[in-house]
Amino acid sequence: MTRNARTLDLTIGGNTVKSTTIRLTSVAAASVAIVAASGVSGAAASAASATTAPILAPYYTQLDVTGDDRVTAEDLAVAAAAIGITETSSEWASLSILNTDADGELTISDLTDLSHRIIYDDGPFELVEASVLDMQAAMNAGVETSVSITQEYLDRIAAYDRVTVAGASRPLNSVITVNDTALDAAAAADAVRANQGMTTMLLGVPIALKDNYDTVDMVTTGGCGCWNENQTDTDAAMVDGLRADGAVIIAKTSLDEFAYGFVSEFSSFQAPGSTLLVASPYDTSRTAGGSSGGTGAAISANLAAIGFGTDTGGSIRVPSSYNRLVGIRPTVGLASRDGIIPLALSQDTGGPMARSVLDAAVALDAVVGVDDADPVTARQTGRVPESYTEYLDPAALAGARIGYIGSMVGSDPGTVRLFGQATAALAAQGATVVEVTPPQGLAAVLGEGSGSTNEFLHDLNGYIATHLGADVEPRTLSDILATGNYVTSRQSVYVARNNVTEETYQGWAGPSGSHTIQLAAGKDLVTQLMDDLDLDALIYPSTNAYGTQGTNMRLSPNTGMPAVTVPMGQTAQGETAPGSGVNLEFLGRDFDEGMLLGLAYSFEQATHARTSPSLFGPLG
Amino acid sequence: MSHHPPARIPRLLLAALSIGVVAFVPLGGAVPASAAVVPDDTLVLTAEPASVSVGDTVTVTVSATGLTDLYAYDLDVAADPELLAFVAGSGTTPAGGFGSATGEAGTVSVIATRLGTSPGLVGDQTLVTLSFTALTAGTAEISLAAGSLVDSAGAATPIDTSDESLTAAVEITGVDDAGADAQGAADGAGNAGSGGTDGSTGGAPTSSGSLAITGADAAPWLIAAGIAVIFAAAGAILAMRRRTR
Repeated sequence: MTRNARTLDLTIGGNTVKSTTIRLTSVAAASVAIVAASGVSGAAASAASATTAPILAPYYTQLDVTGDDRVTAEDLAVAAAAIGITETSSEWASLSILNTDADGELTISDLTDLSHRIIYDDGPFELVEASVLDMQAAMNAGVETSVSITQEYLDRIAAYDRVTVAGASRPLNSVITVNDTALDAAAAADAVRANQGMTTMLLGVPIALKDNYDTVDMVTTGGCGCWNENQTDTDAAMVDGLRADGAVIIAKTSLDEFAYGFVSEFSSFQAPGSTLLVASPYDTSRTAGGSSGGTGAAISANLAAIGFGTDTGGSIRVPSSYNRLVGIRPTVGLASRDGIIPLALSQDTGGPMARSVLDAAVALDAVVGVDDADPVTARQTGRVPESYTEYLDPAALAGARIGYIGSMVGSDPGTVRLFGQATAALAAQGATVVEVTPPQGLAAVLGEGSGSTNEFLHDLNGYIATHLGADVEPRTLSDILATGNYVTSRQSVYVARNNVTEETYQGWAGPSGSHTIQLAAGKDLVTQLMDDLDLDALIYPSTNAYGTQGTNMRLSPNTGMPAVTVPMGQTAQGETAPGSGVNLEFLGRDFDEGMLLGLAYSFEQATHARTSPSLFGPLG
Repeated sequence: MSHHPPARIPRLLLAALSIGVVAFVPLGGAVPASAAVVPDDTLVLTAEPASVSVGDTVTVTVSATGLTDLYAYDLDVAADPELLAFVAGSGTTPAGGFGSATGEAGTVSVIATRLGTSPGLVGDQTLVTLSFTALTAGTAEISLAAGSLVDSAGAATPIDTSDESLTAAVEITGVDDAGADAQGAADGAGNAGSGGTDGSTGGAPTSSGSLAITGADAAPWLIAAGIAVIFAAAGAILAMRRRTR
């Protein structure tokens, strides 16, 4: 069908039905008026003025012709009115972008492609493994609401977390506190959607936070029974960002007490001397890893949409690897640590843990920003994209140069095999993968110990002075030790850290401290290595199966450079812990999270290595 | 940067599984329309009632049976403009999608599409219902003059409009006192019984079908967006389109 969309009066049967004459360039305004008159103003039709960044660019944004950075029913109205115009039409210049099949004419096929780019789905919705995109599409269509999705997650937490499910050997123990105001927050998000449409990709999405992020509506224990009463007056800065985007904070997740180690043992709300451990949802006889193990287990078992952890020396990436999740350890300085119980601020980061790269990128968008309360964040100025989702290109690996250091692959048979498969997959997607000769000085980078020993007391005291809830009685590490209400097997560790002097701290983490200097040297060394070899990223296995791989976890914290970890497969029979997940980690230059997310997304789309834990399927 | 939707494989898989298989429902005189979209589909155009008086409303319906995945379509419904006047704002397409119906020079152009990643239409569906006002006595022929069907993957298939099942006739009789009123209505004087032929007061868009929004608490805008059927009641859009073939 060929039509001209020119200015015409319409008459049918000799009777003028409407004599108004409007040029095509005015269609948008005209159609909006019609929509408004019909009471249509929401999701697909809404302009969503509250949005601060294009949503999921470019796919969901590039065909917008009404100026709101997304495709809506208003864009469809414009396209419908223009069906039939051709390259010779006067309107072609302004609407040719809609001609996605490039046949020189706007047709129903072009309208179909346009309609695909509306975030909307009225088909059946399944919560398990649902992405934020799935949730938004279902909520925009009215199939689900934030209240219904939040309730479903609350039901799953109740059914799965503190009970031993069929086929399991022990409970997950992944959640410390459930937010009893979560449904109120969800209802508020639904009201925003009703009035303004989908304002952000996190609107109404339930998020679980490691229990070292301050929250005004739940206590923040840090995993310690000594701080069961730590109700803070403020949210952590990153939580501010999540709430500002309309996310629903549904729960606080378990962690290795004070984010210390990789087993996620905690004492919160336990009798003094008693502790709980977080189990892997894939094999509950094994650990979920740590220190963000509760987030890892909860997100993998679909107890929330997205989680957040913290990473000082691997605490996001280790549980991400064990639980087949995508984890982001951001550049130190990308997201404020203010309001997070610290372990070692020279290395501390907070970041998302999610079931997909898309979810992780959406979550990261919400928490970046300069915060005067965490001065290191000033480094990010001018280095943060409008949205990390714009990097999510399945073809991002094409033309990329990726290096790896042979010694970081290790010798575990399962890890070696999976890493080999991963490099083959990267190459198949068009990346050039090169083995890199370790530069002189790399051993010092990987050999540098964690800052937690010398920095914990100093940094914890800073948190106590500025954030700790007024009702908390133990207000020093000495007080905490005196309560006996902590993971008492760590007593000697806490005693040693309590004895670190200010002089020792300054000699380590002060402006000219040895750790400060080594971390700066590490950043320079690895950045130079990447520059010299024109690398976009370095890769290595995050872990082995339920075990660490050498000192791989130190490369990111000991350089301050960002890392994204993504599932690369499971070990096989005859290998360590058959059926266990192992992640591939991409490390990049400072503030190059976008590049890393693009590479990880391309790898994820090519491999789809994540699997869902069968013990925690849909509720009956 | 290439342009691809973020993957949603598990979700799509569930959606695909939910669609299932729809049995072919024979319909006498119907025409197979599209092997790509709906292997066993049929389309039929009806006009009711078959006999009317001047001023009465004629309801024209295009229906399909046996759909397996119909994401979008366009239909050109032709009617003798000397005998029938399209009632602006009268068009109805399936709920849960976007639709528009614009009339000009004897042809009503219908465009409809599902939204986002919503599954395509399945089973038996009324693709569009249109109202016309009988203008003068005579035999009015209404037919599907052109159209195409598009599946969820974007594959379009032209409709073979040659089959007689896509043509209907209405016998229009009599010109009496009521006829003058009806003519007036068609001129825009208003006709409450037909929903109004004055494009500026064409009434709210309507929709029907089996894919209504399922969210029990969907806010008004959600429902409205879901049905987002923008018929050109104000005549603004339809004034801009002219067939040139």
